[in-house]
Amino acid sequence: MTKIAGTAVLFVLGLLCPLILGKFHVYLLSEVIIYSVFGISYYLLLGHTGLLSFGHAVYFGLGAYTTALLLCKVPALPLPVAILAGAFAGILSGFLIGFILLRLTRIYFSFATLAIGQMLWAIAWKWRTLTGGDDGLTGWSSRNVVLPLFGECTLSNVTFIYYLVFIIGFFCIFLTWYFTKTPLGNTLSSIKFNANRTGFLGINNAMAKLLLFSFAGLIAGVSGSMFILLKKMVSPSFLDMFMSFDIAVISVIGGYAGFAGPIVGSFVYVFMVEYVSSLTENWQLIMGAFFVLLILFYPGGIVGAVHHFKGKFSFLKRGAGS
Amino acid sequence: MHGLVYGMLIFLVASGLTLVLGMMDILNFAHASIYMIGAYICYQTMQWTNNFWLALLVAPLACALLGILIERMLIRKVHASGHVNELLLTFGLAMVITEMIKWIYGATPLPVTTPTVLSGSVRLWGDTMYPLYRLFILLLSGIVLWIMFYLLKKTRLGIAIRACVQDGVMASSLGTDVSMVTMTVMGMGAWLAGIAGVIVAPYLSVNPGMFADMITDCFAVIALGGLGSLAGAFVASLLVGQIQSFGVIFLPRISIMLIYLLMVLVFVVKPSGLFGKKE
Repeated sequence: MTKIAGTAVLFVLGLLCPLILGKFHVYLLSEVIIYSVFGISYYLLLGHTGLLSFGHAVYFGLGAYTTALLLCKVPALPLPVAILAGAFAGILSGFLIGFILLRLTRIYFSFATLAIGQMLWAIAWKWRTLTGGDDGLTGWSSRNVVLPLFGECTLSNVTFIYYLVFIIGFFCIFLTWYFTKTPLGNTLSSIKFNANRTGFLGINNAMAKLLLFSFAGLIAGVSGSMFILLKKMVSPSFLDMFMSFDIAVISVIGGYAGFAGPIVGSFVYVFMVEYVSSLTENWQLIMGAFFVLLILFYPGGIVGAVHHFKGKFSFLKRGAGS
Repeated sequence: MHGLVYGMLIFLVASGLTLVLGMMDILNFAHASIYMIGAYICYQTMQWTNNFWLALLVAPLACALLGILIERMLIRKVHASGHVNELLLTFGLAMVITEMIKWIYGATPLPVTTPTVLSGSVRLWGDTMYPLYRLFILLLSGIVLWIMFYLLKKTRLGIAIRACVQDGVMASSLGTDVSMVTMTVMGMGAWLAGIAGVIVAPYLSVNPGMFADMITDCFAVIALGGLGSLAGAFVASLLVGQIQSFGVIFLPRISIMLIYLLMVLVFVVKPSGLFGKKE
């Protein structure tokens, strides 16, 4: 019950945010939401099924490029179709890559994801005629969209983007949560603990993983499409290994034991990057050190640390109750 | 020929990486950072004393010490909290080291002068001239690797290391001090990476991008050669070196892709690598 209430409060707060906060913070919050969605897609693999991927930016980047290309080349295309196309690119890439990776386990898996990610990055970087190479693609932010209730506004309107991202993001997170509660979700979770046993029980591990990749690809693809709307451009850096590492860092900062982890992680990450980088040039050093210390002392991330302290102080509560 | 030189350099770094990988199942991202640190120590020593040979002695030792420290103080601590965290720790470490170097030395490439004995070119056959320093790299890495192979194949320590790579639990129950062996391998791997860092310094320049270049090549080598297989890593290093140098000449547009494409293909066809043992 408290969880539902908490979610409802967050939802309302999220809706009210643009009314209270300035444009800059609304922009940052949109970024937080996109990273959260992306992070939750990553959580499905890492936390829920126990697969460490170093190429998760592939789905994100392909979603981003698909939406960007459609917006650039087909001016008449409505925005929702472009986003859906990004989602579809995510599913497709998830399915295809999943197909390649099915047989691999442990470190082999991490390795292969990295290789695939780098290959796609190289394609995006070199295929100038399609992707614009290093310069990337831009030029859709001046487009007008007509909204049913609010009239017309341009795609560079931060408040509009925020609401778009917020609604889609909320839906994606809910969908992912629902996915983990389905029998398939349970199966995946049990694969994490003992893949041999699930195999012996007659569960088709490969099929389950393939569906997982497709679904994770879908969510990541959507987050990628939203990201280009916010950033107003797309470039090969959206699908290189550093993007994949970023999302791994976010998962570790927040903790990858549950849904709260990626959300908390994105929040801390985005705001930390923003504020620390305004303080010092060497913000990556501070981020890196923070990251290493967190792994050393609180491997469960911030959420894990909170649970840890809750456990420590629970005797106080019990004392008060009895 | 250039490919051969580069391949040897990659192998110096990748051999340590692949041994650690076989033993501890960790992809040590920080390994390429150690290589980079080796190059920077070389630069620093050259600044102070202008003696390349001193750098060649000091830097690998410092790197070996650093490698052992990383293993003892950091990786071992995280071992209990799982494989994923170990991997991510080394990644975070690599990030910190790169940033630290950027902070101290800046992002611009720093030149290191080739020692005078080794500068200039020699006549190989006919009219072909070849830079002496590259021959020196070939010779030195050849000697170092010969020593390594000798250690691994003929000594007690080498046998212990190979046993641990094959099956750590079994080796441990037969009375091998696995933790000691792990530390030694870490140190040796870092020593090799340090040597590579020093000898690469005058050949290419010293810059913070070295890490990313080397790590991708090392990944390719390990993927192609098979995890934990030294012989496989050797062949794969030379292969990657050749692909890098020929790819740039003949297929400049897709030369970066070539390596990754090969990696993906190997993963699809034979996940354990070209020479790897079956899982």
